[in-house]
Amino acid sequence: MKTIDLAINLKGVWKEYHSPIRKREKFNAIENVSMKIHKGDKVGIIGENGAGKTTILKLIAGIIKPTRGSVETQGQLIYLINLEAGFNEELTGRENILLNGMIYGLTREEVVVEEKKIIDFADIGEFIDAPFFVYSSGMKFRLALAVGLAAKPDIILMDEVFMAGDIDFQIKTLKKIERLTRDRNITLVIASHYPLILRKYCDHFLVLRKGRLVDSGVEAIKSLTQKWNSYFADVPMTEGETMVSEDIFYQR
Amino acid sequence: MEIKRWWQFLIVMTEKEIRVKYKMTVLGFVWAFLNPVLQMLVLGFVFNFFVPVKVDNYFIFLFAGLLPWNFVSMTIMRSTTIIVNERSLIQKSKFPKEVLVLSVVLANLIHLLISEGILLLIMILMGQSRLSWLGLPLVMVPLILFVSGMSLLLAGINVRYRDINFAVQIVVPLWFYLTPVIYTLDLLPRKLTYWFILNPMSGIINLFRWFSLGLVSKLEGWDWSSLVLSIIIMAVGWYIFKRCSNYFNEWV
Repeated sequence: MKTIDLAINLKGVWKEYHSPIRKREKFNAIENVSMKIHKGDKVGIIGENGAGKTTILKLIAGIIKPTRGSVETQGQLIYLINLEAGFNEELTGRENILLNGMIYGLTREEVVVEEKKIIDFADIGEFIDAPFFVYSSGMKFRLALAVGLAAKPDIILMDEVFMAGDIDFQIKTLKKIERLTRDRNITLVIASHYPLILRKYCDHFLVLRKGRLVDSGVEAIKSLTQKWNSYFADVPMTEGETMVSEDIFYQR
Repeated sequence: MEIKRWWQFLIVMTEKEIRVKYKMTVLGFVWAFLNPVLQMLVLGFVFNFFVPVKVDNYFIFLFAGLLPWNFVSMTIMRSTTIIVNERSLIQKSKFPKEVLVLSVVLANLIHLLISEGILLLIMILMGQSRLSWLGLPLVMVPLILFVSGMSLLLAGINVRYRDINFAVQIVVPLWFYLTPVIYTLDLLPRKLTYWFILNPMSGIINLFRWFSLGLVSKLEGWDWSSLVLSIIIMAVGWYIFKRCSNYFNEWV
């Protein structure tokens, strides 16, 4: 595969942090991680808490720089984490659209063009002209996500953000991301603990353990699904419903 | 981020800074002028009796010095903590962090320009208009460079060492008395006067008074040394901020 097809290229990346407890000590949040993600790939990153999933996403997003190694990305990138950050509580939803659209890298003119679509997708009615502090957390999430997705990304990095908002909006969001990634051949990298989401959207899986990339993840995603299924096995299902099954997902 | 988007982003952040400041206020922008007027009246009333300054109109003299001083002190105090206050934004997206600081400078500069305009209007009404006013934009150059450099420097270091904010809260009010805002340098012995060259605000305020009121400074040509100091402070501030910004995500 030619380098031009690469969306994300990590070469021997290390990220060292000072220990938050013992300031003079350092630890490696990421150790010698290399990965090549091609345009249009859908990659799920799995790992326990503290494994380095968020650090990897931040490195790819360029929010932090590697201590060693290099990170290269091609195209417009958005990182969907902590979506409401950057939204000012005093400003109205409409005023916040401009501010946050520009934080995601749009020009002022682009935000103006996209504003109606953002408002339609967020579907928060007249609240768009109310100050942000009166919004419910679900409404905040909807508007914030709508702005993020309007940035016309080539690469979307997601960090568990889709598990907020009501169920209808979650489904709407997931459908939108599915359509976007399919129609525009967007590269998607998701860090999540939810096997259902990962298996629906991703065709490659990477497992991080203590900052190291330990395997390509097929077994790990199976194991994660089994744990999930066994935990929910005693949930009574109505007629016609089935539990998440291996059969459904391994058809891809 | 290319230049056009950088400027647009700075303007949008500045608009946000101003909008947020006056949200839910009744008087709104009037506060920008009311603040130095009230200060002038109180300080003018007190110091008229204690400081034997030989100037024709002490209140106008005081007001002409208070405007640039307030611009500097308010900007520095607000920007010192801005990176820490916007920590969620820092961790969310890759954007030029210096814009957070420079938007505070620009927002306060707009307040300064409005207040200066009102000062000149009052002087016109008093029949004291002067040709030297045309030179006022020149004095803005060292002022903007100085305040931008100091703000970047303090905002950058404060992320690592939060002591900076405590020091700023103590030093800025003391610095007011070491700057010829309420007095002229004529009150001091000649050999002490030249120590004031080291304080760029002395030269800047003297130049403001020269261009707006026609008051000749005792520092004579040395007032322009503030321009050299301001350029140095801007260069150092920018360099330190850029160095620190690589670690903001870790330090906040």
